[in-house]
Amino acid sequence: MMRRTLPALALTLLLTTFPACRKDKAATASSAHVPGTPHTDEVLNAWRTAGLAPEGFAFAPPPPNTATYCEHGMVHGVDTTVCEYQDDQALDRGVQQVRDGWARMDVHTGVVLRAKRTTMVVMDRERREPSGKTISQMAKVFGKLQAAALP
Amino acid sequence: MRKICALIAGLVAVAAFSAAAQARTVEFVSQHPVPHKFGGGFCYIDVPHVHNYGPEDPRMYREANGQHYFVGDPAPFAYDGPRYSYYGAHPVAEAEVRFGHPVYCYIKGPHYHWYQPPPQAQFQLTGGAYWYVGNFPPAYYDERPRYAAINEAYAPMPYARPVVDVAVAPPMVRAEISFGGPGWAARAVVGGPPVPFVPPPPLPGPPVQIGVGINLGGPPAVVERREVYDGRYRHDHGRHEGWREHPRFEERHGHPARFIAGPAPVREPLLQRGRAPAPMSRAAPAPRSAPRPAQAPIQRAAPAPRLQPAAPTTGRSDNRQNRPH
Repeated sequence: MMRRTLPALALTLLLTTFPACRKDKAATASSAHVPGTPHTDEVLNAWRTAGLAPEGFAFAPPPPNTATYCEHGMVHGVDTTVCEYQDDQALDRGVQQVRDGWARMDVHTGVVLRAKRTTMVVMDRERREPSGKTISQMAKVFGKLQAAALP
Repeated sequence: MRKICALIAGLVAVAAFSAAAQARTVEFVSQHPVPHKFGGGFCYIDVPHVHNYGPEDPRMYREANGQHYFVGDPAPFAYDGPRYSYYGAHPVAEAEVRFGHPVYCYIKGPHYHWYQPPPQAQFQLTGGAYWYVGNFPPAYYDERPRYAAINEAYAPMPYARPVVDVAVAPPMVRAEISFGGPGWAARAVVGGPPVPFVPPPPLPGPPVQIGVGINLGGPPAVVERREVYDGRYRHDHGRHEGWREHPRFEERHGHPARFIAGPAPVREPLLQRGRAPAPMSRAAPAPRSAPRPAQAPIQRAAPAPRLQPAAPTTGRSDNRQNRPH
């Protein structure tokens, strides 16, 4: 019992301390997309076109000194965050934060991919999709955005 | 009372964080089986990803810089994706791209993979399987004692291997089949559970087929005559003497042409991108003690636009680079 509750408590604390995990609709209007990289809505539209049905995506304030714009939601029950970064250094910092977070949380499956300066971060904490078929499809679609974004 | 509550809350938080900090992440760079402890089945994510578990059987993986690539046959793990039949050892182009150095599959006999060989690689599709008809470089022979253990991992697994008609095998690998190969015992079986048996038409010679299953991703094929060669791995009960030291095999036949104890003098990369396949002739292997010829660096074509894993590398070193030469 204790072994289950302790990581859950830790996870909750981490989520509350991670600003990117809190949805703040009031901040949506003031945030801007980053030019020169696939926009979050492009990513979501590409997933919709592929039949993946992203749900509940809303602006999520990014952690300081990392992303410029982030949206968080679910794709077939899988926790997903799409972020746009102003430069590669910020992107590297953001990716490192995500990976550090995985090391602390007991993430069953985690994927972080980049297309130019946009990232998709998928976390399956509750083993909702052990086969990873949805994540694989998301990655393929996201990869096509990367290919399309190349000059 | 307040102080006690605060102290307890603090202790709980510290304990929680320390418990969570023990959670590990293991990186995979290919599809792979999910350990039974974590529900079993197959993970179809083919981009770099992490799990909170490691490989269930490391013999089925290659590992470099903390990244794991599954080099095995996915068929026994409830895999339902595309599958292609192979016979015998061959280079794994997909893993080579991931790791930046040649990677070989050492599975003996017929088996499946989820990938087709690249068109420029020296494979021949015949008898229902891909056969590697190129030369193996010294690295293949050097690593074989270590990685051939994958056959022991698959030996106890009952699953339908692909049916391969070895009667039409490429000439340079036919000797391997006729001699049985390392650790394999020939046993003729007529008919097999997964395939309907139809009375045989007149044939010029006795067809020999390997395996007990069929399929190349499509509907089941009907094999009109099935005299299958049941290539069953003969376990040596932990002695792991290897095929070369196998007295019964050598007493009967001597060394087969393809499995001579020395490395083949290969001066070219296995996967010759942008070049036509070389003629299917194998150079005579050099003796083991002879100096090895230098291996040419692999020439890579300009990579296609590719999904980049946003992955800072871990601090672990490549085992291969650290190996003594």
